[in-house]
Amino acid sequence: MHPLLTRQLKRFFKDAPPALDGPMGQLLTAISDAYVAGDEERALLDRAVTESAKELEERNSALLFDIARRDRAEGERDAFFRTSADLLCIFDERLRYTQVSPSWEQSMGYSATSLVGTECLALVHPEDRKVGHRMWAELQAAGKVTGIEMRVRAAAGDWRWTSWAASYDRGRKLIFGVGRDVTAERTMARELAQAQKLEAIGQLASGVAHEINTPVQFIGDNLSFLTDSMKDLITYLEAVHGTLDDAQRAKLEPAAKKADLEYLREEVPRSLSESKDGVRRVAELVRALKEFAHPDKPELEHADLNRALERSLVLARGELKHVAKVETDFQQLPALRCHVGGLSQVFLNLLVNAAHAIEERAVKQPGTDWVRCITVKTRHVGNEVRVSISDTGNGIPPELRERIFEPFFTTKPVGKGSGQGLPLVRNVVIAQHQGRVELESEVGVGTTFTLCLPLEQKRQEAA
Amino acid sequence: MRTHQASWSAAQGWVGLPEGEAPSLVLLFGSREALAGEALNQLAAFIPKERLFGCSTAGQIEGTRLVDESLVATCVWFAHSTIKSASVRLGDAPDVRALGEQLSRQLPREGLVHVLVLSDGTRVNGGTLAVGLGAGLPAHVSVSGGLAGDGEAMVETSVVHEGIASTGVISAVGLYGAVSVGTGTLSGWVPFGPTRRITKSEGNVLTALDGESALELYKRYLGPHAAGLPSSALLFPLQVTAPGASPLVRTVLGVDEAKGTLTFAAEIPEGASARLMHASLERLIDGASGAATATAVQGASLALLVSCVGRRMVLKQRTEEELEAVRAVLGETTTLTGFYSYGELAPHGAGSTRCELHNQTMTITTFSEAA
Repeated sequence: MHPLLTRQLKRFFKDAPPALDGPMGQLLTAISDAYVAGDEERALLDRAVTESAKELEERNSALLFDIARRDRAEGERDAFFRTSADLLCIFDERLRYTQVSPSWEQSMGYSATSLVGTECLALVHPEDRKVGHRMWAELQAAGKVTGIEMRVRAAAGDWRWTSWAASYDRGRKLIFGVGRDVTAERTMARELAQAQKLEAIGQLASGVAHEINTPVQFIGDNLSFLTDSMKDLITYLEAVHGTLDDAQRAKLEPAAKKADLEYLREEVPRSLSESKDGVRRVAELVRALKEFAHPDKPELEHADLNRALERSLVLARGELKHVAKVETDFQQLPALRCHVGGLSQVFLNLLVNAAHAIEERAVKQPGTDWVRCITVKTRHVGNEVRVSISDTGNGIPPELRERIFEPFFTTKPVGKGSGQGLPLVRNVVIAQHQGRVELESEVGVGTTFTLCLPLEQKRQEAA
Repeated sequence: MRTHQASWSAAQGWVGLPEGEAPSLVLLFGSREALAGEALNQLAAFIPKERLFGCSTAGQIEGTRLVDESLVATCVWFAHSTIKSASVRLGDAPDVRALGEQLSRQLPREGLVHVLVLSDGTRVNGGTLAVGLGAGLPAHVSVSGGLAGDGEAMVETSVVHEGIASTGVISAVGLYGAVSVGTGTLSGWVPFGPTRRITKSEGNVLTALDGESALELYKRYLGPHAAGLPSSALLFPLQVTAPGASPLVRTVLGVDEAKGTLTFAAEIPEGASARLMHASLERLIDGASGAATATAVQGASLALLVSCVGRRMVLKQRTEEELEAVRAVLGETTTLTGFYSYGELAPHGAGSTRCELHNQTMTITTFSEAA
């Protein structure tokens, strides 16, 4: 009998407990069983609640630990996303930005809010969009791509070369992209290639110049010898002619006429003089070529810019002489500590550009009456040397003036311009010599580039 | 449609057997021992054997009374409906799915409205049987019934098919014509504690939850009741939710101490989630009431109640309260019969006809015919 029921029976029946046989006994047994069952059920539920609470507590602790670990990992990932210098971005399958890192604002000028939701290929150079489409196709096929390069427009409007690696998460239907601005690297690589090419050409030219120099010298020497000999010979012939009588002269007359001695006496010295002049010019060109091709030393050295300009003019004469007349206005300049080889290249580039500008105008406006002229001036102003090269070409439209110094930007036909001439000018003048480049241009009138090179500067010796 | 109930007890023999026109169908539920005795033959002398179907139970239902060690026969006369029956016998290593499909295909399809299935309760994976039955039937035909019981012993069950009681049999009665059938199933059990992942299982044998021995988990929760395994595991059924599926209640049928495994009444798919369940008496009784409400039929002539033996073990003396709760919903004019089972078969929810195995539920099938 359940203890509670026993107590209840004692309490209510006192000294006369009911008989436990018959229906009353069965009823009491059933009541006792119900009490026992109730106790058991409560004990079972109590146990279940206790066990369950213990398990839930353990799981809760494990969960909190997991959450803390996940929060930390997420925080670290967020920090990586926020601080990365690379262009991090996430696209959906319609190639729209869903997230971009703050580096986009720092290096490309776009805020995250201005990009999210926009189509990423809209920023890609039209010529490179097929690269973008191919990249997406490769991602769908292989899940990952690396080393894809394309031009992306910065907020300022200039094109930046960017290199991309990306992966495609099919489950999330997202593409994770990592881009890097490689414009500087590409420029450097191109410049290096160009410099190597120029160095090779320079070495070749130096070798050729050396080979030409010796025959030119003995041709020059021989011409001097021939000139002197011819003079002596003519003097001797005239002396001999004075000793002849009339009969002897008459006898020699047909041979003299046949040889056209009078003409020879006049023209041979002139021919020899012209030949000597030609040889002198060849020698001058060879010398200019040798000096131009001479590799720059890593350190700065004093140089006469007027002489460097003259050398560049000699080398550019082939480009210039049929296009325009060249006027020089050189002021005496103090020696400038500089990389003269680089500056010589700059002068040559500007002279060739000037010639092309005049040629272009001649094609576009044939028959107009204008003076085709390239003017080269040097000035010593205050603490700087200024070199200006002007042309009477078509001028540069205002909308292009910002862009002409961009690497690979060119308005010249394919094969005529590489888009590297003016970037080199800027690099040599600004980066290597801490100078500046001034541009004055008027459409239909002409263009003047002025290079301002400071005489006193804190130099990076191996710029 | 009309009904009449008769009962048999060792003391009184058959009481209330019908006279006159032979019934269309007789549903007979009783203890395994009683079904094995002479009572069945005595009944068969009154009623055509081919209309007699039933099974052994863990308690049979006669109105709102729960009775043991007896037989309850419910006679049904259909006015506009007929029955056809089929059966299959289990072999040594039965392919239960194939047998279920074979069984349902034996029934002619034309005019088939509903299939009542009574199955051996200890040798059949009820979940697999439900899948097989569904595969052999048109989508609009509903299936309900249950797995035979054997008290709390869980040793051997018998099924009465066309008047013959035997073990290892699955019997099906197809209802044809104007009969209207409603089904409702509800447990009243509620999940508690953490959600666990089924990390090791094979078929209906569960080894590990969240990498922990499932048997050890049950023992820890059962405490002193662990000595009563496997039947005491009925106190904590498992709610199993396979990915993308509705939650189902599953109960433990057996324990293998050597392997440390639990055998359930149906598939326990690896990767599904699981939670232990418990119930208060009131919740179970409310569950029965809810199952009756879900049949959406009032004034039905007959209601077949198949309730889980696990409910009876929890409700104990109060078991009849769930029968009274069903009566309160269906009304006094509905004849209530049925049994406490080792598994309930019925569609899962309103509007569904796809048969599923349920555990720990009160499952009700109502029958009526238009006047």
